[in-house]
Amino acid sequence: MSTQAKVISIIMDVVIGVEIDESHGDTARPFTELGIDSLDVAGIFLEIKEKLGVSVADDKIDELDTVEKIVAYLDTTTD
Amino acid sequence: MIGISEIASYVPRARLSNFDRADAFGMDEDFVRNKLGIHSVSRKGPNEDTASLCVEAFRTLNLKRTVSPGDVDLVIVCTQNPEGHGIPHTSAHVHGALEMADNCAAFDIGLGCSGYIYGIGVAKSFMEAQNLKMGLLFTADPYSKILDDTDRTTEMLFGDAATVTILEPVSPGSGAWQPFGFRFSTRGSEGAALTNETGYLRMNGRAVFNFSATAVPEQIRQAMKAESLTVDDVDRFLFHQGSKYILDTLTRRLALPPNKVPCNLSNQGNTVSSSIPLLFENQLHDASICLVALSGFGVGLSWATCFARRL
Repeated sequence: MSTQAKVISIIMDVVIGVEIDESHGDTARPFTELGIDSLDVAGIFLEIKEKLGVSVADDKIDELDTVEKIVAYLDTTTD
Repeated sequence: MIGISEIASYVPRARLSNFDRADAFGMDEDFVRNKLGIHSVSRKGPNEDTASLCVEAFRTLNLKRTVSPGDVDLVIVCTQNPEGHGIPHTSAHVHGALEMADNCAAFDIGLGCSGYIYGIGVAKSFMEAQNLKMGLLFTADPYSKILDDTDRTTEMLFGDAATVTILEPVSPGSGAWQPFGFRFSTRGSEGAALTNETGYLRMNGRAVFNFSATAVPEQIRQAMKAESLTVDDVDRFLFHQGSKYILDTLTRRLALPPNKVPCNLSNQGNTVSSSIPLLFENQLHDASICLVALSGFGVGLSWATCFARRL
């Protein structure tokens, strides 16, 4: 499974009812536009840590506000 | 055997609406309703303080059951925001206000959201060791005394309240509750997540969430395994009412039926060590409920779990 697929799976697991449609460009849209709030973000990055083994610092979390940015960060971290 | 036979509470009448304040904190109504789960927070009056909240809870208790102050052997107040500046201790203030006897033990426990379960454990053990007959465990931690009204991470969360729990000798068939299966934990190395170093509460919400979402389920699983309990055996999981989001997270992570996880946040907020007894008060005399799990977690970092069965 690609990193993007894993991240989308985690987000949809944590945020009940969210839809992320790659064909609609949702992976580049800020979380606030997708209805993902700050508490959801905390839940998402906890699951990223638990399922993907990557712990992201608080100040970095604030920068990673789209699926694409998270994927890019994880791909550089795990290279 | 010392057990729990009654709980009473006092939640001050004054409220601050989170809907009215949401805009100022960059939140929308959906977030307030569905993530915080706190529509309004309770606030003590200007002439109320920690001990007077306890006295009001005691007055409410006497509407349910007459307790003569002279018969009380033990008073414990769980608080981290004591009466005045903390000297004398808050339980001494309560003892004096209620004109209790000289041979009554009174001391405070300095814990927050884990405090009710620690308090039950301490009270039960102390009473059984000293052969005491009537103990009152108060919780009263009015965080309004230390909230920064410009801090969006705390100002909309916490509410003021007090509770009192009667602990006394109990017997099978009495309908009283026997606490058991206690687990106590501390992680002082991460205590910076919740502090009061300047007179104001500061909270790293993300750190508190991460701790709550990981350490608490693990403790509950261990506690249940040690007592050979399954989710089916437990009628209610009474969690500290931190926020709706943390309750939903714990429910999901522990795979609990949502109807077993009550929530009473909406019209008072997170009342710190009072949050669990406020929930338990509503379950205490419901004959359909026979086994509950109680789990409190927060400042310290400190967390504790126990169970209680109806006798």
